[in-house]
Amino acid sequence: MVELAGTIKVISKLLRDFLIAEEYAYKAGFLQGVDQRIKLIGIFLLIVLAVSTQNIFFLLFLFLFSLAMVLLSNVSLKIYLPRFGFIPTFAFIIVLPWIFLMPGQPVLSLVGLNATMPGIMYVITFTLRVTACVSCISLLLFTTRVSDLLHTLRSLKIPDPLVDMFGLVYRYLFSFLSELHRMLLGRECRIVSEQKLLKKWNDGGKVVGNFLSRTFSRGENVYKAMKARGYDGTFRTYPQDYKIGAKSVVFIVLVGVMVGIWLVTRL
Amino acid sequence: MHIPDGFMDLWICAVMYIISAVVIVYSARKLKGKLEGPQVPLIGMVAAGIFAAQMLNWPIPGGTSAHFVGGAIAGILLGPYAGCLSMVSVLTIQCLVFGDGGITALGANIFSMAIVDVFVGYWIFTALRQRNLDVSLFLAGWIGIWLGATATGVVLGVSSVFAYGFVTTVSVMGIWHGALGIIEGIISMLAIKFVLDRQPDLIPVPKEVVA
Repeated sequence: MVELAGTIKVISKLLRDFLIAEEYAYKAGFLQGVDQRIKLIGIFLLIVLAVSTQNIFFLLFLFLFSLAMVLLSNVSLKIYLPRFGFIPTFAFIIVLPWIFLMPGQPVLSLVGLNATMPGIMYVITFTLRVTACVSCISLLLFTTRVSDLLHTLRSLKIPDPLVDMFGLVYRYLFSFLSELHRMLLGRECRIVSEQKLLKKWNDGGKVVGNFLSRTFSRGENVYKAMKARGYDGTFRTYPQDYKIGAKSVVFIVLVGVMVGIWLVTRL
Repeated sequence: MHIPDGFMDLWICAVMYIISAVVIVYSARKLKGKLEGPQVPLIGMVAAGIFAAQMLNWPIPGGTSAHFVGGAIAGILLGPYAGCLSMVSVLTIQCLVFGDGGITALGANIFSMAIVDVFVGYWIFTALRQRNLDVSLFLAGWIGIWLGATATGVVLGVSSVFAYGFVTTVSVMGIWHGALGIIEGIISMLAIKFVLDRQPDLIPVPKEVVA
């Protein structure tokens, strides 16, 4: 059998993170009021700028810019920062050995290893770049409703069948997570003694197989239900009234300023 | 295996986006006509199911645990083209809604987990299933994820912003996922065997092999 406690922990974390982000997406704030298409393209552009620079000051400025956006969007920094803290920490640990591996003038000696200035700068730059990027993408997660995101993808001419699949994955994920949770609890209740690893795996495989079988059945039922409601191969959604308001204009100007700073730092 | 933003050079991100887009368009064209019937809900459902099943914690010796990716399972159950689109859906939702994997790295993540894993898994399964169903399912899951991880190692190794060299990244990803991939292989084998036992018509496997 799969590890129940660990699985429930993972599912709970996913749901908790999602629900918290979704809660902020419905609040009134700066980025929540920006046209979704402009926001998605603007944030993508900011991340592209971060990926294509080695300038430590620009990366720091971009990170601070993203934090300012967080505050303007009424998102709590206490919630926001821990949400993505793992990835920069992971990135820092991965590149940490380069403090000693990068050739250059030694500036510090630790247990026989020489830390070099190029090494220190590389580790700081890399970690800061990842931090700025993750902070920017988190802006999108915290301030965008999934329904708006799907509309945005449609309006950006992503093919309809793909967007329909994204919508279905999102719509049924929580239902499947709940079903999986129930299946695991049910099996756990029927187990009376400690299982050996091989037995756990064998049972776990059956759980996944059973779950996938149910997935297929659900797929067929959902299709029949959709067909009964008039599904003809295309999803009809409520029309989205895109208006480029003052917040969108301000956001475009701010992204433009960031592009300007990026250009200046490259001169 | 989800690469975050900031680990790759911009030109590699662009190249991986183009390669992935070409395969996605090709897959969609191969499914032309089918994407208007029950196929879209089915692919969406299986994608949601695989996403949910990725949350399962598998115990491994030493007290730790692992998760599986499910690319080979998607390829075998849905066929390579629909399997590819289902994994694209999973990875895109993970990126844009849950923050797993970077938006500039999405092309590379799709390439390793929705293209290499799915297509390699499917090809191994179809090549070997007549000889031995169990072995074909195991190898499909194992080698699919192994080569997918190796592809991730290649794109990271080629990137100049990631200081580790090509040999290091490919070796680390290859060895680590070569070992972890055994779990993926076993899960793929057990899960699909279970599905085939109950719904043998789901995958067109020769009867003598199923029996």
